[in-house]
Amino acid sequence: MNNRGQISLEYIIFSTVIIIMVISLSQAVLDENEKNMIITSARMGAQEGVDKNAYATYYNDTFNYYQSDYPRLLYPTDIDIVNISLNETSEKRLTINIAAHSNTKLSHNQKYIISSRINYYARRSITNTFKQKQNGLYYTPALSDNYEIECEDVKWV
Amino acid sequence: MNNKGNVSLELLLTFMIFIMIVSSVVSIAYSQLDSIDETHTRRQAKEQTLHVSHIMNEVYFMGNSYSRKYQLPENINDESYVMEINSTGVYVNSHYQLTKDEYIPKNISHNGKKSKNIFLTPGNTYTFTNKNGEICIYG
Repeated sequence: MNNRGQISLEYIIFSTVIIIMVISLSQAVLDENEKNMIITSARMGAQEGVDKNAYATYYNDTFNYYQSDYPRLLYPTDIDIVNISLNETSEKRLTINIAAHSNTKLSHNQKYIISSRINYYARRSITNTFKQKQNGLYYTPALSDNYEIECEDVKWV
Repeated sequence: MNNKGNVSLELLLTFMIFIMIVSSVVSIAYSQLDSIDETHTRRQAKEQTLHVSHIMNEVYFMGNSYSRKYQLPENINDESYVMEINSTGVYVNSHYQLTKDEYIPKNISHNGKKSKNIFLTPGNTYTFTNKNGEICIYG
C-alpha cells in the first residue's frame, strides 16, 4: 500500500485468497462455535442441577413429593459431573451424554430423579443461552440456533 | 493505525474476531446470572436451617442451663422467608423453595408454650436455652 491511495496487485490477490478461505471456512467455524456454546451451556446447566441436589432445596411440590416418597433426597447429595459429550444423531439433531459420579449410595429411582434434574437444567441452560422459546414444560428438545438437542439418561460412573 | 485516519487490515480482522468471541461469551455469561442467583438463594436457605439445627443440638448437648443467642437474618437473597420448627426438623421456605435439616432434641417449647409448629420471625433475636433437656426458645 502506498501513499497515493493505490494498492499493489499482490495485495489484492492475497486479500482475495484470504477472503475466499474465510468464506469457505466460516460455515464450519460457525457450526463448531455453536456446538462449543451448546456443550458449555450444558455443562453450566448440569452444574446447576447438581447444586440443587447439593443444597437439597426444592420447589414446594417437589419437596413434599420427596418427603413422602424419597426422603433421602432431602439431604445434601454430593455429585460430580465427570464428562459431557455431544453426538450428532442426524443433520440437525444432537444428543448430549452426561457422566456423573456420587460417593453417596443411591437407589435406581433416586439416580433417575437426579439424572432427570441434571438433564432438565442442561436443556434449560442451552435454550436460554440461545434465547430460544421454551419447548414444552421440560425443554424437550432444547433448541439452539440450528439444532435440536436431547439428553440421554445420565451415566453413573 | 497511522496519522492519516486509516486502520490496518490486521487491526480490522483482529477486532472482528474479538467481537465474535466476546458476543458468544456474553450470551453464555448472561444466561448464567439467573442460575447463580438461584444457587445463592438455595445456599443461604440451607445455611439457615443448618445454623438453627446446629444451635439446637449444641444447646441440647451442652447440658442444663446452657444458652445461645442467635439473630435471624432479615432476608434471604433480598426476599423475606419463613422459618418453621416442628417435630420433624427445621424448615426454611424462601423464593417458593423449601429446605430442611433435622435436629436431635425431642422436647421444644417457644416462650414457655409447647407447640407443634414454631414460626421464627426473620430479623428477630432468639435465645435457645436448655432446661433439663428441653430446648426453650425465647424471643
